[in-house]
Amino acid sequence: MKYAVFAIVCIILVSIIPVWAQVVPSPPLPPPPPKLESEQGPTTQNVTLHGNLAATFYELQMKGSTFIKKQMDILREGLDLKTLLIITFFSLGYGVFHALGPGHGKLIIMSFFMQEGTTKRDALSLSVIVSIIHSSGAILLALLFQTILDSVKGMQQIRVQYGFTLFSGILVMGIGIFYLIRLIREHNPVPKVQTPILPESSWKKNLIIGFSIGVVPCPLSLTIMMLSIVYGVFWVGLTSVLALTLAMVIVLYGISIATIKSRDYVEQRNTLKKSSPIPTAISTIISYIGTILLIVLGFYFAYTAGSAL
Amino acid sequence: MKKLLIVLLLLTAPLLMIYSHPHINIHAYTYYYFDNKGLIGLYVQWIYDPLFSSQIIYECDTDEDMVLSADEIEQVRSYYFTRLSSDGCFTRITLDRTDIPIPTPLNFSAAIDKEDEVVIFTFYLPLEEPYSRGKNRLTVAFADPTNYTAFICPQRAVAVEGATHKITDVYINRLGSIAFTY
Repeated sequence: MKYAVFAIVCIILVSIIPVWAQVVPSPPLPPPPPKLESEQGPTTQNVTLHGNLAATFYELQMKGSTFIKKQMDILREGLDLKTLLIITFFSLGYGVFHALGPGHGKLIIMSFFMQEGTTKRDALSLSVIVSIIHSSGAILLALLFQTILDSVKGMQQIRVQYGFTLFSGILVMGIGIFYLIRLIREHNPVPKVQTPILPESSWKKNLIIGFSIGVVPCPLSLTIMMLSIVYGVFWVGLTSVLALTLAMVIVLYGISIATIKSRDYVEQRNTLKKSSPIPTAISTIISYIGTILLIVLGFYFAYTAGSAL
Repeated sequence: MKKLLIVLLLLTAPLLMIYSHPHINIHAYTYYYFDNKGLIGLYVQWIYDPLFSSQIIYECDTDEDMVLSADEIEQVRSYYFTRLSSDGCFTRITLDRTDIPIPTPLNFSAAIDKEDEVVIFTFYLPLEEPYSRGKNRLTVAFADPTNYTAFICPQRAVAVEGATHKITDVYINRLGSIAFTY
């Protein structure tokens, strides 16, 4: 009897082995590599390194923001006038560099000033409005994220910013459509339309377009403000953001003036050569291009942000 | 007329800069694993810039010891990585110009480099791409479609594990992509 039980157990065990063998165990994951470093790796490979202007620009930007962070680390230990001045002036210079890069509504502003009737006073008011709204939105959002919206963390915070971009895109698109309809209505093919599309410059008039462009809170200012609140150096963050805002005003104003001058150059030629129909057509075309660009850009920003939400 | 065209060109040139600018910078490194059959996966290491790292550290290093515990890593994953992993980890892999579906990343981990005060994410992407006849051109590219995050590839060579590979040429674009033939 004992032998019979033993034999049965053996048979069962032996029969289990092939069944077990058929179950392929999941292969173990390869071990994680050691910390990778930029200079590491075999050099015998036939390597082509492609430098890239954008990559260099991003790296410089990263160095700039890292510098600001390090100054804030110093100021966290105690207020130091010298470091405060350094961070302020560096933020101003860095802000110009940062704002000259892609984004910041430069293309939308150029499209806007390609339209007839926009003036240098518009350039100043719009640059200031866009920059102030862009930065103040970031300050407000930083305060909200640290207080009543403190449950919004990580990538959710970035999604909030995508939401603002979507909103901005829809507004810009709407304004573009509004200007296009107005342009079509006011367009008169007989001689040249002398009536400006917009009335004289006013801060109030540019508030809507300024709000549409600047409503997306500046992510750089947002990060600086949030860090300054965490570090307990709110005023340092605010000073840095104000310097960044001033830098943005300078860049946007410069671009607006350049656009106006280019447009005026074309219009001047138009006046000198009235007999030729080409400059008249070009002047009108520029207005249309600017308006259509507003719509296209608005749609692009809305679509991109909407997809990322 | 020539001047006029130049002005027009200058006015429309910024179309090239249509993309918004990034606010998070990541240095991306990849480590490729091969076996006798072919490519079996790659480890990815992302090093965030110090400014954004400070935000992750503030939110997730709750005991402020500059070391991420298992619970804190889970928090990092929840706040920062879950969404990215469901969207393909900003990663695009092509083999001989054919897109390879991005698998669910495994072994996610996060750590703080105390010296540089930066946060490092690591994860493994398991793949099963056997060697095929002829050339195998593998391209791994990191890119955020919204351009909110910028990727930079600081590698100067391809780091590979496995005895059967034979890499003939490597093309590294600093703006986030590595391509090589094996």
